[in-house]
Amino acid sequence: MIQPSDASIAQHAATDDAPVLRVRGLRKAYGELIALDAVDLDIRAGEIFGLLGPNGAGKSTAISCICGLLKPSGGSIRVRGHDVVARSVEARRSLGVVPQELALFDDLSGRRNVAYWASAYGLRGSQRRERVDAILEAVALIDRADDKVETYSGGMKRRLNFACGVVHRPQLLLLDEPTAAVDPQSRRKLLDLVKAQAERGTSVLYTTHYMEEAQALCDRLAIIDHGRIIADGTLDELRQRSDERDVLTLRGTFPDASAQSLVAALSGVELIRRDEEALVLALRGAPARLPELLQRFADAEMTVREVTLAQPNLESLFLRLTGRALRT
Amino acid sequence: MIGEIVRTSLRQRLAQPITLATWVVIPAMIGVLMAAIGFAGGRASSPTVTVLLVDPDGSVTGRLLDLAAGRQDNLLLASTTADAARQQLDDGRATAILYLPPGVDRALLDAAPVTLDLVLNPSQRILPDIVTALTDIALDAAWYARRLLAEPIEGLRDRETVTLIDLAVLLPPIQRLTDTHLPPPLTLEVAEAAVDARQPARVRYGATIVPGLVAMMLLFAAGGLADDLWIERDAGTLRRFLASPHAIGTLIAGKLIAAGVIMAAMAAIGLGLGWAIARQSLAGTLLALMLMTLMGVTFCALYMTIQMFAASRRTASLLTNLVMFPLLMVGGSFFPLDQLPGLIGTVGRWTPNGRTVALAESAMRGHVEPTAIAAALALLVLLSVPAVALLARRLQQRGAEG
Repeated sequence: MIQPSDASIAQHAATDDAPVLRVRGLRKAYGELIALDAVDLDIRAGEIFGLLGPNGAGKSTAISCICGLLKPSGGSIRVRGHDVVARSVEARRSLGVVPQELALFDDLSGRRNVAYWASAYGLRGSQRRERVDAILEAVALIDRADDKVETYSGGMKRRLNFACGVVHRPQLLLLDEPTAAVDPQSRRKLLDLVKAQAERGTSVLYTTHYMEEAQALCDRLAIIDHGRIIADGTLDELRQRSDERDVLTLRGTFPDASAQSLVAALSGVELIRRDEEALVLALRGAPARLPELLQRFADAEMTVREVTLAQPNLESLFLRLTGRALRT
Repeated sequence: MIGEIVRTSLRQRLAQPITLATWVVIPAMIGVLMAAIGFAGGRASSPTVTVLLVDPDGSVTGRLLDLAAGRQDNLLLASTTADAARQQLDDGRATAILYLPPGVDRALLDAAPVTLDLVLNPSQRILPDIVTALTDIALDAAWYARRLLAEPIEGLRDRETVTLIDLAVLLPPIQRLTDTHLPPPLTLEVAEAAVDARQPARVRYGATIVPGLVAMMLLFAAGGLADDLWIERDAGTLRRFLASPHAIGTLIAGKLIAAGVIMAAMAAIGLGLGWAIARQSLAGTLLALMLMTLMGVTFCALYMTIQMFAASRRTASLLTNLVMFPLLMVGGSFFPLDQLPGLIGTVGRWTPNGRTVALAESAMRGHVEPTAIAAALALLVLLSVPAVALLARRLQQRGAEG
């Protein structure tokens, strides 16, 4: 089996514009129940793509279809041009999977676990040893590599689970909520590892229901609900599409009538709340307009001591798009 | 990848020596118990009827009774004094006391009334009834003898005392009567098999039960090893494997090869001990090893398939036991096949394990039947192939369930 080298992945990332993963019209039905419907996705080389949705939205079903565990009821999935149904072996060779649940042999050492999955992707001999050591080093488990997994903490197991999925340096990495039930330190470490994979040219499909993770990590996002993609794009594109305004909170000294008349004179700015020491304003493009606003308050001899900007986040975006909170 | 799966499976199993030991120790304990019961059965004597004869005259009647009793395996007739007899009966060491009165010989010759006293041991339940029945038979025999042999007996009446030698005159007429009136209805000729004649019972018994016990070990091991797939499913590694570039058949093959290695080692220990005890055919023992291992692997595949259709791991274990124990009962593991009654024995010999046990026994004795072995192998393959195909299909479904 031919293994992709770092150089080949980087070259692929640099020269090949074809998406590493292309999903068109993906449909998965269980009798009457439609788990996925008309899902389209494109993930380019080196891109971290977030698939965001509440539990039961269809994220894991999509991952299962992409890695060939489930046969789609309709549509097509291509990994590096290989159809995952018709050319499953070729497609799977390019994949790395980090499942939501731990997938480890508890009674073996961490090193044995990683070596097993390295073998599953054709790594042999010294190459396998080097890759195993390198990834154990990367996930900060090299010191405990020869201990049985059953002696590891939850965070260590999560990192090992990740190592098993990437030891063969896949071109497309499927991460199904890899930080579920992970302590903050291990979560940060895992997110760094995901970024490092993308920097090497690996494309990442990352499912999560943690908004902050998606915001911090993903180049592009798709929001899925009831098996359908309801919005996709970059975070900024999604914000714009949501038609939600930024919320600007100004703290200082704001005399009653003059503050109100000043705000009324500002175009596109709505006064949400006012008291002696604070003004809460709603407007679009607040970061860009902030210098102008501060100047207008200074000219009106009103002192602004503190500014707080709250932009619409994925949480509010999801709420607006689906009518329900994400963690349900 | 198969090699890696085999190595990993073996490492996992060797990391659990207690489980491995259990698969060997439980059948071994059953074997020891069976052997103990078997040896005890060989040595134990049937209950013996002990009749104490009190015969103050030292009569010919008493001597005749003694001679007759000497031809019976389970009847002991011992002459003693009245006091000693009473003491033994009170101590529970005898079934009955038969008192022959003085002048019993003369009374029998003269066809005069005579009273025999029979005292039975009340603490025994069945044996006294046997003594009563035997005494009745003896009295009837005396009555018929007195009439059938009336003429020669009349010739003895003139004598003051009668000895056993004097009774020789009765032999020609008895022989005539036997030839003319009591021809034997059938004649039995008893011949012992040569192998049985040469070998002590202990060795024969050991050689007979060893293949059955090894089959039991392997069926236990097959049930335990089949659990591997549930472990992989619960651990999530099955799902991860299904997302790898390898066909599920690779995982099944690796698991079955690992199972084969473990079972071959177990069978080698068991059959090796059997060979060491019985010193039978080494080549046959090696053939038995191969057959047993293949049987174990076949059962492992069958159990894996059955278990993967269970809703939970606990149910899977229960289903395995439901299949395993009846097969062990009729397949020559708990009881040697040749001791199973009619239909059960026939069914047992047609089970995959029973058939293999029978062939292994035969091979260890040096009797190799190529046709029967080929048929057994075909049966094992016939069971394995569809089982593995069904298993592969089911694993795909189970793995996708997550």
